[in-house]
Amino acid sequence: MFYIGITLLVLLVGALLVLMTKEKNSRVIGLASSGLALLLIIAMFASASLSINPIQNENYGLYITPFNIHLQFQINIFSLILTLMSAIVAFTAILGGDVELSNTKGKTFLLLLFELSAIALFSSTNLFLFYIFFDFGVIIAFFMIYLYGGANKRRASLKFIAYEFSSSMLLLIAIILLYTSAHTFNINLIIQNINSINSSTQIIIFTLLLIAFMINMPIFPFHSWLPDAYTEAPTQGSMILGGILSKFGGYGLLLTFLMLPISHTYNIQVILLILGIISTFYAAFVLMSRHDLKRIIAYSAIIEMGIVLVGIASLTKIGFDGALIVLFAQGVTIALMFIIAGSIEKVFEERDTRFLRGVIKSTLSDAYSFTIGIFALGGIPLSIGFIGDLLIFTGALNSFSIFGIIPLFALLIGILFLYYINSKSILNTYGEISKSINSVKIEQKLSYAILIFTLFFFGIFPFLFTNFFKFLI
Amino acid sequence: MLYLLVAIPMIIAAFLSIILYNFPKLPKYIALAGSLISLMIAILIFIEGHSDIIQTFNWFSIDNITASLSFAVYPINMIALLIVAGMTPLIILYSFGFMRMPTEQGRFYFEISIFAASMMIFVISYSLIAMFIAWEMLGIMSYLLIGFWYWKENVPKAAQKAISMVFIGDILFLIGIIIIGLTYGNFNISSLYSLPFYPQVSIALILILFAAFSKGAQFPFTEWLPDAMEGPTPVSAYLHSSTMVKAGIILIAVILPIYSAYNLLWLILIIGFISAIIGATNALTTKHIKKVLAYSTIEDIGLMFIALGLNNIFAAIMLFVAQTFYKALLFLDSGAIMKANDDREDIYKIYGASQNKLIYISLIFGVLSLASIFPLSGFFGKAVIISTSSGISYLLLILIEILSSFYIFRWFFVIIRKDGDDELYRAINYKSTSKLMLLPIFILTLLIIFASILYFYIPHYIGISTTINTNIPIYELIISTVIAIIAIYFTYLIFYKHKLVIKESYKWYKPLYNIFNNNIFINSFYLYTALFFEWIAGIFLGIEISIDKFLSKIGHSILSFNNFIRRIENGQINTYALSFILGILFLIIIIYIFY
Repeated sequence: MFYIGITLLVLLVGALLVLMTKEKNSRVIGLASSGLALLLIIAMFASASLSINPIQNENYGLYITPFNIHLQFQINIFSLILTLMSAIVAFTAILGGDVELSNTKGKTFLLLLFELSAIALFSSTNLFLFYIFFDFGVIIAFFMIYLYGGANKRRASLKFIAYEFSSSMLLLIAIILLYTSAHTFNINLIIQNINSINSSTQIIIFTLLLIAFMINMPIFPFHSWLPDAYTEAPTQGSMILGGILSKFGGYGLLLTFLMLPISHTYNIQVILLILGIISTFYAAFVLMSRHDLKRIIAYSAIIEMGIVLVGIASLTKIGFDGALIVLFAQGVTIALMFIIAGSIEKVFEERDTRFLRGVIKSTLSDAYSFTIGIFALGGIPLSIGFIGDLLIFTGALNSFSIFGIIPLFALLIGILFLYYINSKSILNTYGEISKSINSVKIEQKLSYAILIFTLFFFGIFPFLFTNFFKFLI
Repeated sequence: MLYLLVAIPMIIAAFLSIILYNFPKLPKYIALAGSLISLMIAILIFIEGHSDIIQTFNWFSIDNITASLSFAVYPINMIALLIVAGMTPLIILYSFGFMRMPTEQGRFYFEISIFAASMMIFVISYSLIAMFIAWEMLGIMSYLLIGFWYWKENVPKAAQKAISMVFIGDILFLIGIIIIGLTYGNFNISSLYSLPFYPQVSIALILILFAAFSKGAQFPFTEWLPDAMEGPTPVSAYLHSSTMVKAGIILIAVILPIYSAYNLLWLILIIGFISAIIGATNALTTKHIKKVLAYSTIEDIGLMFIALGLNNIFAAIMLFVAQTFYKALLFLDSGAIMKANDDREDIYKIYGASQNKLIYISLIFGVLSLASIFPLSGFFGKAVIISTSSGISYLLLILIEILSSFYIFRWFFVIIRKDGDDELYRAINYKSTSKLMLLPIFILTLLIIFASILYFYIPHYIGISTTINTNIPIYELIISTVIAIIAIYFTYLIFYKHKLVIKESYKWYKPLYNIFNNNIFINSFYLYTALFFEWIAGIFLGIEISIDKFLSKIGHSILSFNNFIRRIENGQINTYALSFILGILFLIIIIYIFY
């Protein structure tokens, strides 16, 4: 079946149609296109769940002859889980994310293109396409911030593009190095022939890829772009940045460790663990002294990414699986948190938690969805984040003994602070409360419902994911 | 999975009440119906008798680790299940009269039904992962229920405090089950019993123990429970009698033989004593009508942990049963009294609980049961613990009993006072107390009296070994009666006859009062921890900002270099000419040097 090809085609056609129509029709076309894409991805997921071997290739012929690059997509464990996440996040972003109600046409166009690049990236089988769609996504996200962002959009978008372009430059160098030594861009072939590359080259490639993906994820020393970009982006931009773009790096890091067995050494594991611990605690503590709701959520994303890094660094199968699940869970949760934050900003015209009071009085759905978002971020059981945390820390405990558990305490600090914010600003109507200026639209509530349903559906039925994991390449 | 049926009516009721949010009359009946069906199923399970079958459902498995949800019914959790299922309809019935506002109906019955369902699931589950699911559900539902009246001043803070303590416990529990899962490859309790012993499992057991302490509001985590009194009274009654705080007891009781095998009972004993003394002393000084009972709950749970630490499972279960009834009763009574007293909370401003005869009589029974007077059920619970202990722990238990007699009779005599001169007294109104609130109180009074029979029944039912002490020597009876009579005499004299209000300004009294009031040490410990974290957060913010500044400095320096270069192209012909000549000269020199 050609699920991915059809999905990409649907999104491309949708994007072009959005460009051609008027402002008011653009949202309907975007919704139809991304909804169709979501249905196709769900169909793909369902058929993969039912079939004996979910891994399938979709080949659309030779793309660039001299380099032997095929336009080929693969349905595998990564693409099944991560494309599902991208489709859900992008669909809800188009459905209810446009809280600002401005520039709908342009934003919808960019969102559809971004969804296209994300789905293509997560299912591409060769590094050439991976690189192309990586850059494509970055550029779209840049325009999202630069054109439709908040007050400091220029500074934030330039910072973003500076970081992300250095990331993709390093990625490009690494890919060229890999091609010159392995003579192929195909990931599966690289995995088969990796022993023909000498080890010093492998170390260089690994270092380049590691730094590139650490910038994108992001991990501590390279995280500086994230709070600004997430904060200044429009709501839909924050949703796709937090929900999808940062997963490029996580997915890339998983691929790196699968491709390059040279990285499976104890020293690298320990370095990554230390980086993960620093990153999580750093983000947790900086989060405590921030007041901007969107910025707080942005730092919580860094905590989660540090946990993903620890899961990958454990180099156990269970840790990898956990990292993949946390990527899914965190993408959906962050999208939920950002859409609520955008809605709160629209309703109260206030995002500063020092002045925000009594959200529950005006918007019950915002308040309770935010609370559920905190629960999901903290990984309560029956939400998918719990399975991810459980697996990651089982892997980490296996590899690092009790030191692997340490990031959990950073998560604890972050979540306790979020509860504090929740009790102070959201579920609290004592005293003077913020005046509500606008109301929450039904589409937004529908978006919350879809995202929350996704979190808990897969949390209650985690075997839908874990059954695939025996096919991990 | 069949045992899960007991929780399903409550879950259905919960979702029905949230769907019927716009019909505020319906949710209470739905919740009551659900809880009655749950009770019926629980009784059916009881009648069928326990079998050794563990019903297992393979949730997911990865690599060589299998997570399965197992459910089983065996004597200990059968008793707990009956208590939970039996208490739920009573609490919901009481809420009929207590929760009157139409806007809060759907939300309240949703939350309390999910809360009840998760407690039932917790009780019947027999694998750590199933327990953990219910455990965290209990935590978040208690967060929502304590914060139910979010328009009151202290409520959001109290809810946050509760979830913070409980969440710390959850993380400890999670680490514990991760260690166990990694050691055995599954999360089943039965695998814990398997040999050989692993050293890392003892760490996991300690972590799980502290998780149980956090739910049971024991020593390092005592403070959330008194603050949780900000929630609605039915919630307090439910939280303190059969759910939430008892979850830790059930968890430890189920795996007690493992703690015994790993030699960890001393830890349970020590923390139990510390918490019981904290609870009893603070209950003496508190003036808030429900907080006295809350500290008393900390003491009771501490006593149960002491019983577990003495490896006497029977004593723990007996007190578990007895405490459920008298604590629920006292809470329901105090809710009704507060309603009649215009929602005042200070006991010195509350009068005339004796006006309503049913409340008065039920209060007497509840208080006497708490003060362990023969033949009420509370006596059997506490006396077995005391008679099991010896040496220093015996003396401490007697001390705790003296303290608890004093605080509960003080509480009792203060709230039944009559004072014709006070205008607050003349304003009280017991006439409007709902009959629906009195029915559960009546049932609980009967239960307090007749639960004593269980003392003769439970040992056979749970089939304990003969090494466990179940006897109560006759002098125990005399000691507890004498203590109670002395306490009654003095408290009657001070608080009822002379209507003395102990002022904080009494000089001799003040230092002692400060130590035992409101848990000052533990509270300030958490305060300073929070301040310390805030200080660290400030440092990290400084680092973050300086990183940001450093980066923009790099950006600016590149920009200024660009400006410098740009100066060459300023459009003035003489500058171009000058640089042209300089370039030529430079070239000539280079050529001259190298050739």
